[in-house]
Amino acid sequence: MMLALKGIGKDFDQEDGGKVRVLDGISLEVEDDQIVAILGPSGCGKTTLLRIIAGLDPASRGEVLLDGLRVERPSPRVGMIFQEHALLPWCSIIDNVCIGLEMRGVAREEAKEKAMLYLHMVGLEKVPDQRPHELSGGMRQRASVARALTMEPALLLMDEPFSALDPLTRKQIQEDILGIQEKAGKSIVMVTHSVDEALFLSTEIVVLSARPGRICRTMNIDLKRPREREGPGFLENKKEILSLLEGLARPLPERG
Amino acid sequence: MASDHIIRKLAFPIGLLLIWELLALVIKSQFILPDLTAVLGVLLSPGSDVMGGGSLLDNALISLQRVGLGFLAATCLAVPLGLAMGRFEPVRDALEGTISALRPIPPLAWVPLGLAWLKIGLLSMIFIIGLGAFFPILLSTMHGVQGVKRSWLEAIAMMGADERRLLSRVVLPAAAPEIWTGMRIGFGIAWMCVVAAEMLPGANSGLGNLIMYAYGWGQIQVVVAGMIVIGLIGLGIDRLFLAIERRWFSWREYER
Repeated sequence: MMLALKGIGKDFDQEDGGKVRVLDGISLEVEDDQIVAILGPSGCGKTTLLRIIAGLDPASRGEVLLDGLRVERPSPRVGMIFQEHALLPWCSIIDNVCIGLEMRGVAREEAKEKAMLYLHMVGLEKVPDQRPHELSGGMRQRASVARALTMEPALLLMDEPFSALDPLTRKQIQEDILGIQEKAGKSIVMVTHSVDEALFLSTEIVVLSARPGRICRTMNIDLKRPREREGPGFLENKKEILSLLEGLARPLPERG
Repeated sequence: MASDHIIRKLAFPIGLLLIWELLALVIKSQFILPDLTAVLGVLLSPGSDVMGGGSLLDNALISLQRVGLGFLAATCLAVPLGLAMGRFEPVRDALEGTISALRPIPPLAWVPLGLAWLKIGLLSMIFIIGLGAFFPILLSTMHGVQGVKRSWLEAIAMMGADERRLLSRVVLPAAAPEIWTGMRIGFGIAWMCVVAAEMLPGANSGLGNLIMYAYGWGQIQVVVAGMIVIGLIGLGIDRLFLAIERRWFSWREYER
């Protein structure tokens, strides 16, 4: 698998007819087994970039290539984990996880069997018949990871997937993501607000500048795994990124 | 506490019945206000013929059949149209203005045209009843479809769903509670329309007709009994809609 972003730019139309440049000249390559974390100040277009990679939004300039083919619409080759779990609340967990397989034409029983495998992988094998609202936030997010994995995507996109979780659950699920990534061998591109999360998970950190988002720094993170969140290398990197982010942040509203 | 609740709920209707009976005793005219026992007498023998106008039960069944047909026709037209209007902006742009202008016209104002086009009979009745039910179902379907969470649609689209699949797997189930509410309101209006339509010249059966017929013969106790039956049937069906809503759409309470 090879993801290549070539000069991605995005403008948003404004009410007065003008345009706002949100992203500009983003070029990036992601290879097999890489975990790339995108960091940046609020409103720098991180989520927009992820949505462009997913094929959910069109880029204004440039192109996204997945194994040499242009990404223009959503495809099962790319999985997406949303900030909020986005499970269908009227379906049980197993039905939520099955849905992609069934749409692909897999028979119900076979789809269920396969879905159970992935539920096992994320530790939800005991609750297949519960509804999403009966599970905790962490479990719901695990279920949406399982749902995305059933499609066996080559690339997994995550949009601040754990930001709504409490710190402990968050740590646990981060570790699980690493385990899953090793087992299933995916590349991951994730957007996060948390420098800790980025450092713990990723092989590469991309820091975007404030609007318009441009890549202002790419860092290879070659810390040994399992990574110690208090380890010297970890803290050193963290300091560096934090000071970089502080320099980039403008005194603007909190979220964007 | 529970008995308190029941007393509070029953106090008003019982008081109303008492006042009614007292007034009836004072007025002493069956033509202005029949006493309770006379009305109860009619209600308790719903199968007996009322001076050649048919029985309460038979007429109620006829009205129910009419409202059922009109309601069904309205649902079959309004739900697909509402889906199209909610999902596709060009359809909405094309139809919304016209529909907003047609909606305030009371169904009964259509009676002359209904009779001219469809003649006196079942079809014109269905036309009037259907008009009453059509607009609430249409509008709530449209709103329900517009309110479907974007992340649900995108999550399923990411797994390779086409428009047909999105409609059947996400849009329809997600909008179902609101469609159902529209159907409930629509049925209430249709029920009022059927009774009113049956009171028009040319009708010769149904609860509305029975009331007018009994009035012509000075049988006010039958008029009141008929009104009570109309009220009770409307209430019962509304409760039925509510019970099904709670059973099928319980997931909605957990969604913000």
